[in-house]
Amino acid sequence: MSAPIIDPARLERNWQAVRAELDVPAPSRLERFVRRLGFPAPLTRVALATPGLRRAWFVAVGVVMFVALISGDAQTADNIFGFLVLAPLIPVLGVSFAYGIEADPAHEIGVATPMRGLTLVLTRAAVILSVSAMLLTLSALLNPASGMWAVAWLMPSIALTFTSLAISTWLSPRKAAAATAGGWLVGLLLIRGAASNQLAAFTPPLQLLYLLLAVAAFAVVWTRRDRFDLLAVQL
Amino acid sequence: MTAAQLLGNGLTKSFDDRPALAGVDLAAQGGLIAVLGPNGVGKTTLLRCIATVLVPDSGSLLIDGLDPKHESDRIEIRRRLGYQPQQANFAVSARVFDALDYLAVLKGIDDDRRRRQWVFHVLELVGLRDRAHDKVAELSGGMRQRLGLAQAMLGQPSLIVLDEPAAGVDPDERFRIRDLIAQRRTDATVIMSTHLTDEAAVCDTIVVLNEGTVRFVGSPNTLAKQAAGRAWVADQPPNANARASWRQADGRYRILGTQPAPPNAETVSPTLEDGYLTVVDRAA
Repeated sequence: MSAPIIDPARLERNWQAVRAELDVPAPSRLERFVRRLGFPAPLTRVALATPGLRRAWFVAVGVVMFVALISGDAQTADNIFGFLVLAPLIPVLGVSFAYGIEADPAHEIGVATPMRGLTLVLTRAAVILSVSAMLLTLSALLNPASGMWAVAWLMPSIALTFTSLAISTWLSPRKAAAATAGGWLVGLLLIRGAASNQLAAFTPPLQLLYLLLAVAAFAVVWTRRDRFDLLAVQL
Repeated sequence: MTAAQLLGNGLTKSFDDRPALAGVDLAAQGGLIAVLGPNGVGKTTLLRCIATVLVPDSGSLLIDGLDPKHESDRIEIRRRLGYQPQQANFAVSARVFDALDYLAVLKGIDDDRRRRQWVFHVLELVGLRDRAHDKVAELSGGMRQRLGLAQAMLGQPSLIVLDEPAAGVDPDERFRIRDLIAQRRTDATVIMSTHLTDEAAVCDTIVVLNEGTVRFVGSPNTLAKQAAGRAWVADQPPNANARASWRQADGRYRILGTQPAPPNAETVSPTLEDGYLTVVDRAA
């Protein structure tokens, strides 16, 4: 008797592979949009996996874009100041909703995977920062009054995001975000009280300070990166 | 694939000065191991240490000779690990496929085609392939437990850690989950916690944990034998020495206790539950 022309095991494997390709559900519209921007599928999936992130963060982005747009008729720096105060907090809020046991129901399973916790957090932070930067800068640029101030929030936002991440190696991400936001508002009030210029907190010397803060905060995050790899638990 | 080798020695872990583990020794390679004990005795903490998500305060833990205290070793262990925590939750708004696909990415299965095949393979294993497009919210409690088991099997791990994998599900689902777990005993070291003796009965080895320490390690038969000479059936209610007793359907009393035997009682073969209660009692 002659041997079968087709190896049945191979045929089954191939059939399973074909079935898998046919059965794959289409990605969500948001995921398809991000993939079209050139992000690979695994990265997109990891970045958009936390459901809490999308809801809370998109609402916040919408509010700040609104603030940026309505300050178009500003004759004083007040409205621009409002935008510059709020905009840096958007990535902080997004990142705080992007990881941790409060944000991700599958957090404990995720911690036990070979994906380093810090890689996961930084991936999401990078997506949040880039999308925030794109949307908020665009909306600020649509406001003719904003001028160069449209981008003055970027360095503070990077500094605050890393500060919040650094604090989250001690506290939960949401408490860390609240502490960072509180510190930012107090700092701004102090600077505003001490300086004659209402926007002093966003001038070049202070921008350098935010850069230094970002570097220092990242150093803390890096040194304490083990905290993102373990479960923060108290019985 | 070779089943992972697990070696724990003198493991301790405390939370706010409350000890959860107080010097646990454990050795295993291959087979199905049940960590059995009452609620709150340190089972979850022990499993979390083995799953590398918690670091023990002291003692040594080696998995295939790798020490999870070191970052590079921990990552390598996690490549070989499948873990189902007690709270194996998924985003309820996610589709079943997407929930697993996300975890498969985290497990390092980067190739899109290979990942899809893995996801469908494990869904097939747990009988959820036809629910791949459904939202997690549409699954029953038992199906969600099976989904938790499915993600633990992604990538064919050599060490599978399951924290009460059949908790809160109906008997049909429990049998199904038990069968799925038992199938993996040949190619992986499977450690599961439970407080149910009937779940432990199908395991190769039972580790009884109480108050953070190991009180017994051995086969289900050996555990049952710990109650030899302490299990009786009698016509009269038990005396004060009885550890546990209940009235059977035939009106007689099933009694577990210390010597001396109740008057006119017949000695009977002890069950696994008798053995377990005896070991836990001895520890108290």
